[in-house]
Amino acid sequence: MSAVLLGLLQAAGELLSPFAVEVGGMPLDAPGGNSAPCVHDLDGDGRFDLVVGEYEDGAVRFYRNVGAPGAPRFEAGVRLKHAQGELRVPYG
Amino acid sequence: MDLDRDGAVDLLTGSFQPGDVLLFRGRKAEDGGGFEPPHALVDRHGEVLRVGRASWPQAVDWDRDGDLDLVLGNMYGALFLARNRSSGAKLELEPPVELTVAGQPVKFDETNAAPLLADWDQDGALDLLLGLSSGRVLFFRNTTTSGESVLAAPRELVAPAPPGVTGTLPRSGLRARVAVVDWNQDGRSDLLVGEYAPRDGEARELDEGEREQLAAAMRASLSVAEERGRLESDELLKWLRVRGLSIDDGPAHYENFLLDFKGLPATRALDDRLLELAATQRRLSATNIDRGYVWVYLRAPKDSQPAEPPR
Repeated sequence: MSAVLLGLLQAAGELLSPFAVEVGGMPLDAPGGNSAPCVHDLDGDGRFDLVVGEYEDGAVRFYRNVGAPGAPRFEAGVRLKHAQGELRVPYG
Repeated sequence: MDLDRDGAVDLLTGSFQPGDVLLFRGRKAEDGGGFEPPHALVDRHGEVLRVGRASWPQAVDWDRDGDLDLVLGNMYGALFLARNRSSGAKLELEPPVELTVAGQPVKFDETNAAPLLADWDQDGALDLLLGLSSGRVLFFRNTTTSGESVLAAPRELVAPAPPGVTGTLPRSGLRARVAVVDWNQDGRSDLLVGEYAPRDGEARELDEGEREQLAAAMRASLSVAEERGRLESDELLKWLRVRGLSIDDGPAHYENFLLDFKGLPATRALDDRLLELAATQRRLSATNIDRGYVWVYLRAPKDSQPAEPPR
């Protein structure tokens, strides 16, 4: 298989050193690792929330944003459900 | 994302094996809210949409014809495009084809390609950001603002994680998965990065019954994995034979085989059993506790950033 790229230009200085999202004063740590974040205002309150996939059971967890604009703050995550049970995807 | 444009937010996910793309349709508030049970997306010929293991789909109007197409990554580091031919609210997806930049397939010598379409440079065009197994994140600028999207050569936004136990590092680890949001409301998009970051924990003391249970789970895992391997090998040999290929051609054609191999009821049952045994071992051993933080990379002040090249 071919993998042709024309060259990579280092984006030096485009991003600051990272910090971890916190929940209740501790880093948000997706059970089983393999955190897969998505941003959406799921509760329709005008603030973006976090929806994060995790390895444990292939579950997806909703972290509600209760902070002020520019200073997001998240409640403890709750596993999403669908009409017939817990929302999970095949994992391995 | 409202994939079927019925006014309710849907949830679109990939999956590990065999890599079905799953849609959990959203329900409107007046219908109870939440999501429907999942169904696997099919292409317009009725075939289950597949790009291989660890599929990673993103819905985007790639060709700007008024409907949502899919850009997909897979476990082997490749990217695909499944065009929607409906020009409307329906999903009439073509089978996936390789995504290209300058006429060449976008594929890396890394695994776990996780694409995201977002307007990173805020010029009105959706760009491609790509997380990869090393932990690096690449930015492919979209050079068009109408018609077909055309990507420029990539630029690295986040470097690969250094080798070693990534769960001790103060940055994102391996298998970068990205999202974009204006975190601090300064008018500029920032980057969120999920991870797989192994770290060593301290083993807790197990009683005799738990040690026997752990040993039994480990023995059963080996046995089930061997049986699954035999079943898959048998299917691979049949697949090669039908195509006039020999067993020596197996390694070169293994990825193509996996795209065709929809699994047998027996292999799916064994996969479920392996997952149960793995969960038992994790629960009892509690040694390697893989970290899965979500890291926020804020934009640096504007005057410190490199100038964008002309379109």
